Amino acid sequence: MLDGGNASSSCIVLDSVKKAYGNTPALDGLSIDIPQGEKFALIGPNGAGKSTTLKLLVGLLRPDSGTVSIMGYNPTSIQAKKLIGYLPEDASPYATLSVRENLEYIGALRGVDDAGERIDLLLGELSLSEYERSKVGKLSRGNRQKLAVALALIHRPKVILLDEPLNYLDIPTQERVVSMLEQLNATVLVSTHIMSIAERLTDGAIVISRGRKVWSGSMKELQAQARGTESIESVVVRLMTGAE
Amino acid sequence: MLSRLVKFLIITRFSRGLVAFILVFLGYSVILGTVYNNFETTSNPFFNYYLVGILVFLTVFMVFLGGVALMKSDLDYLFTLPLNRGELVVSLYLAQFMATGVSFLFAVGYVLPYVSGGLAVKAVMAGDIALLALLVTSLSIISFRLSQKQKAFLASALGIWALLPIFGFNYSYTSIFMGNTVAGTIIIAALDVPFNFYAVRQLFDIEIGFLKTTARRAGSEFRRPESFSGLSPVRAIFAHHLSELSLTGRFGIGGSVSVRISRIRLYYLLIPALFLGGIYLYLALKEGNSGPLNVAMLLASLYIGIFTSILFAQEVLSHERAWLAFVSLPVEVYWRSLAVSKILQTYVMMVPFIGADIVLLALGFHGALNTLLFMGIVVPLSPVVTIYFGSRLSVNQIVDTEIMSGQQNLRQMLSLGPILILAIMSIISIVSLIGAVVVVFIAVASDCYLVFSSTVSENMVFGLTEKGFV
Ligand SMILES: Nc1ncnc2c1ncn2[C@@H]1O[C@H](COP(=O)(O)OP(=O)(O)OP(=O)(O)O)[C@@H](O)[C@H]1O
Ligand SMILES: [Mg+2]
Repeated sequence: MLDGGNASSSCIVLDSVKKAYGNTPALDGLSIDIPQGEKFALIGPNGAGKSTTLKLLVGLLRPDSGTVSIMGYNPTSIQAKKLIGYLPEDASPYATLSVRENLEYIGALRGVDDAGERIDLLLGELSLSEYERSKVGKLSRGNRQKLAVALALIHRPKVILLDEPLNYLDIPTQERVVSMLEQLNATVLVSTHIMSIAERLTDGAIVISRGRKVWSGSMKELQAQARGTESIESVVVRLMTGAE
Repeated sequence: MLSRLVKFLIITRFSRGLVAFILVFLGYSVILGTVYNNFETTSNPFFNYYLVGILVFLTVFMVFLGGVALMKSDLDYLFTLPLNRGELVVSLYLAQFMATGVSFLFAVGYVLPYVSGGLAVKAVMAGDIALLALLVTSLSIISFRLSQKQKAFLASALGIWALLPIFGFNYSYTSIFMGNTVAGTIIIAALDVPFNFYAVRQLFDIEIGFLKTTARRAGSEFRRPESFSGLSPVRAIFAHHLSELSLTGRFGIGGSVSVRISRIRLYYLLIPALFLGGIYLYLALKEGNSGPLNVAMLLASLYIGIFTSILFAQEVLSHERAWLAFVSLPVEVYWRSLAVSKILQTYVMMVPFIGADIVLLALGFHGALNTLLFMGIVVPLSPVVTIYFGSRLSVNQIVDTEIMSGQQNLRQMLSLGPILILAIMSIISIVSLIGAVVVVFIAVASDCYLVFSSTVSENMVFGLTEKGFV
């Protein structure tokens, strides 16, 4: 096993990872290396393997071949779990608990010392305070997503993996979540389809398609690829489809 | 048009394999019921208690956990189509019947051979069973709009009434199985008419009713907030699972019918458990120490075992959230705590029966030790196996409430396999003390393996994620 947190500043690493669901290939030799402290966007068409990549990184899936590590730790290890904050796509918190109970429960599982204050703070920042006693099943989709964001961040994670974090959120909340993420002193990998958010939030981008990396580099390099008045979206389309 | 609508509603709700299975099993029961004749009925308490037990189970379950087999796509698409209301109602009712009442219809194969008398008597019995199946269906539909209090009232009224014939008051909808066919038939018909009338009326404005019910509960809160602040991870898991039981409408021939979440304080469940424990003790004493095989003990072991195993195991994973639980804590730690809390939870529910068994043991009842071993050790350990099988075979994660979470299929029935094993184990335990000890040994060994092996828990989580569980 690699030993944790040393030497190289690599933080989020996939090395020639292959993963298939039964006969459906999802990742086909994907390699990613995100240095500590950097924020990257994971971009790709539907079905490219973005969500699969994130599930491998949080230890909910095991690669068929290749290696995955978080700060040198195996994603299933307790050390990695302590570092990681994860928000899946279409996140759904415990429906059997209320908003506050969800936060308290995960706060307890994560051993957050100042859980009470932390919860109040997050509820306030995400304007969820008035729903703190509500059943999660009764929340609107957007409020459920806000709670999921709070649950992913409750333990001040050092490595944040987010899958479409802004789905369902109203515009003010999108702004608030973006600024919350900007201020965090953490390594971030965020899967998103919204390029404007990627440009604001991240320093670099990884473009994947059909389970393979097709491009990676800094946001500036990505923007520099634009021809004339071409939009960044068109650049990404070009990269994804491999068109010239 | 009607037949196409019925077909559509059924195939969207049940996999073809399951529909085929239901039809084959139904055909088999009907053949069994018509071919075999005049079995020994004299003082066969098995026959009586067995059917009464199933009926109590079904009615109480349907009242509490019923609900209409609706899917989200029904609200989004089906109900917006210009369909004939009458046809829609008939189709919905039939789909609901497939999910609920049909399970009682299977009884014909096991009841009719025991009915002595001519064809007319058999026909009446068959008709009664069909009417009871309709009653069960109507209760499951009605349940959808009832408040918790109304449900508690209706369920206890029907449940207690069903049990009265055992104590000599033979005027109930279960009386047909206890020798009073005439009164029983009249009562069944008298119950069927209003309940089904009301059920059909509710199906007529189902989407309005649905929206109303949802709205009524919108923004609603759990009555008693739980607190996990300051608890260690393991204590938090225990606190979550030991204070309340999350119940969800998930019944029918092996899957979810509709989904609704309510939390019940665990000690509230002790009240019916105490009540049932009392009935068990009463029946065991009444049956006396007759023969090597005490029927009451066998039945109680069967029912209680199966009931608790379903009640305490089926829901667990549907409500679990891998992205929270298994990402916050090492997989084996979370699974171990969850499994142990389920064992404790089931153990608490078994306390009245364990107490009854200890009384019987003290009175020198034959077989009391067997039952004690089974109810005191094997049953509490059983949910772990059921949960594990469920995770490997089929889990419908419940995300959106009030709505069916997916098609019911045969795999879901397979995940009930451990319950069949449990039933066989209960018979072995009652028949022989050595058997009981062996069964205890098997249960302890398999639980230890499932709970403490970290490969098991990891494979469980990887498997669940690959099936799309989040
Ligand atoms: N649970 C699953 N079972 C079977 N196949 C799956 C499962 N999850 C994903 N796949 C398949 O794996 C491939 C990659 O899926 P993934 O969800 O990782 O894509 P994605 O990039 O996140 O797409 P999107 O932008 O639509 O969210 C797809 O072909 C998908 O069909
Ligand atoms: Mg995705």
